[in-house]
Amino acid sequence: MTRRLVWPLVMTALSAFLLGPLILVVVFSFNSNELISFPMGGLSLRWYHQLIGDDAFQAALLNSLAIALPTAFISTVTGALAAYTFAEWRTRFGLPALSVLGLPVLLPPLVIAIALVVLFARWLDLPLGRPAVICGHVLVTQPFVAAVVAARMASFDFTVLEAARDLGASRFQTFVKVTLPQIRAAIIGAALIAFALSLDEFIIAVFTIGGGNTLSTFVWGKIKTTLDPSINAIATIMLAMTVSLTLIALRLTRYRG
Amino acid sequence: MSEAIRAGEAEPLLRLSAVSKRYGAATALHPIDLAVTKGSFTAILGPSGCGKSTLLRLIAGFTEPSTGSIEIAGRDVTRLVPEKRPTNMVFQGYGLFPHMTVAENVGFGLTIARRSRSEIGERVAETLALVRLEELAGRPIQALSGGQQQRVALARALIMRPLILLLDEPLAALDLKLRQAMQTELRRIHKETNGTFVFVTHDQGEAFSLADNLVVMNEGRIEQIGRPQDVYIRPKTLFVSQFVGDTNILEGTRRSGVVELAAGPRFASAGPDGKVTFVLRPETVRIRPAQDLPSSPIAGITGTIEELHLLGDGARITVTAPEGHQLIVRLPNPRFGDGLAPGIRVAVDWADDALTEVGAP
Ligand SMILES: Nc1ncnc2c1ncn2[C@@H]1O[C@H](COP(=O)(O)OP(=O)(O)OP(=O)(O)O)[C@@H](O)[C@H]1O
Ligand SMILES: [Mg+2]
Repeated sequence: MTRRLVWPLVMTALSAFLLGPLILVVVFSFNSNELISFPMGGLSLRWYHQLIGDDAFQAALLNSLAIALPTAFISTVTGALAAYTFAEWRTRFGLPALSVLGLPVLLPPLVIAIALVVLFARWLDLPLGRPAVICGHVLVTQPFVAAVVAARMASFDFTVLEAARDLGASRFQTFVKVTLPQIRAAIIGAALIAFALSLDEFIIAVFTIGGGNTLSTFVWGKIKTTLDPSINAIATIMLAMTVSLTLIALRLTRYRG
Repeated sequence: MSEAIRAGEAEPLLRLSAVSKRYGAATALHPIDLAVTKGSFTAILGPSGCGKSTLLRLIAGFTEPSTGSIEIAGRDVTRLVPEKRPTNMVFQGYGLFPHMTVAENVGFGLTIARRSRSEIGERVAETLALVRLEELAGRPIQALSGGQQQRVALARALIMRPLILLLDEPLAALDLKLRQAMQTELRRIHKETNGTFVFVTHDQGEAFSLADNLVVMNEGRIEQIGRPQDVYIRPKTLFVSQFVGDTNILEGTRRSGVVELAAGPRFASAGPDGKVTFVLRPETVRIRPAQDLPSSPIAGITGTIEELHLLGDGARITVTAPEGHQLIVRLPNPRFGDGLAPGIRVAVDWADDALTEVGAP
């Protein structure tokens, strides 16, 4: 009896330890008090109002979106094309090629960040900023896109492509009418994942953003100076965005038919 | 005059001239010549990996030949892309579009060809009726059985009214009963549409029951082309005789027009001197108990029955001659009064024309 209770208890404790701080962050974001401590004051949207009125927050949000959108777009196009092409080869070169493409995931983000700074500032003599962050984010999100699309391609029946050509469709018509409808969900899902990853990313962003802030570097700056409860509001907003994007992505990429 | 007309009629719809295909160092297809006449039902028969699919894919345009040229209805299509060829294919794995319904699958080719909605609707209904799938028009592809999917694949190709319909082992995935039913359907559709079918199979029974023209392939080469019964009765090579039905192989030597088989019998047979190989179909062998023999020697072999298998529609008997030569005999109706049983001494012989000389293996 007691033995049977051990594992559930361990799991509950572990979950509480992992999720507890998260829950606190969300709860305190709606707290009207100045201090992040118990006892709590009344329920209020005070910190959200303060954030929305804050110019620095607005600039950071704009930066984050202006980085995450192009990142999602570029890495979806390149990652999906790569995965599709490697799958189309249907040879033993497909998997190694995909693995090489996935290497940036294994590199420490710090190394990627330093390399980008060196590349932009020293060699290309370009200012740091959004384009530099986008480069870094494409590098680390593209493997995820490729992996999601490759997983879809693993169950893709390539005979349908020949069948479409045989029935009079050109290469382009075949792609639009036969390939795309079958892998569209996976591609949209992959794009959402790339978007969420870029939104959250900190290390590459903090090194390569140059002057401005993204959401994550903005929070970091705030933590260093004041422990203002509006941090909780930002964290909650980011949590909501990431979780919902990921949930939608998971739904879309789940294999159907 | 009548000769000229017949020659005109025989002008092939499809002609392959010295077509070959290499993949790197490997040769999938050695240079072959093949002609297919309009309205024929050609079966390409051969073991796995002999190049049947390669041949079909060359005709459909999915692969380019390494050498040679392909002509359809007098037009050179060797470099033509598949979507421009007057052929359509039923694929081994069907290749149906999983995101479309049955009707959308069947209508795909006409939609691409930008036919009017009413024409597409009409022809889809007509073609679905031909393959007897009228009630399933609105079903998604996943909700179909294997046999139904196969008929959708057939309908999707037939609706294009191809000059040549190519079928790559379309029945291989079906169970025996469904396969036989589909064979009957295919024969009916071939007759009703008046089409020209080229059908790939590695099942000789299927080839014989469907085709009026048989192409036997082995290791990237065509071994023999002919009417199925001719190929069966007069195989040109040892491979054909073995691949198409059961066979007995008799080796021997020819010296100035007389052949002496290793198993005993001698007979007159014109040809160059040297080693010879003959094949003998088991059902052309005559067999009787040895005690019935007239005292004069016969042209056949005497031996002992080693095995006797009843097959339901006949019997298969293995006879062993003194020097270890074995002969298979097939009897359509074993009569037990014949006194044939394992261990019995028997005499076997055959009509002169039952032996067919084949090229060296
Ligand atoms: N794309 C390719 N690259 C390399 N070799 C190939 C390719 N396609 C076919 N081959 C080779 O060519 C030969 C003929 O293949 P093919 O598919 O035509 O055989 P098949 O007669 O259709 O066999 P099966 O009955 O098994 O379908 C095989 O040895 C095969 O390995
Ligand atoms: Mg094949």
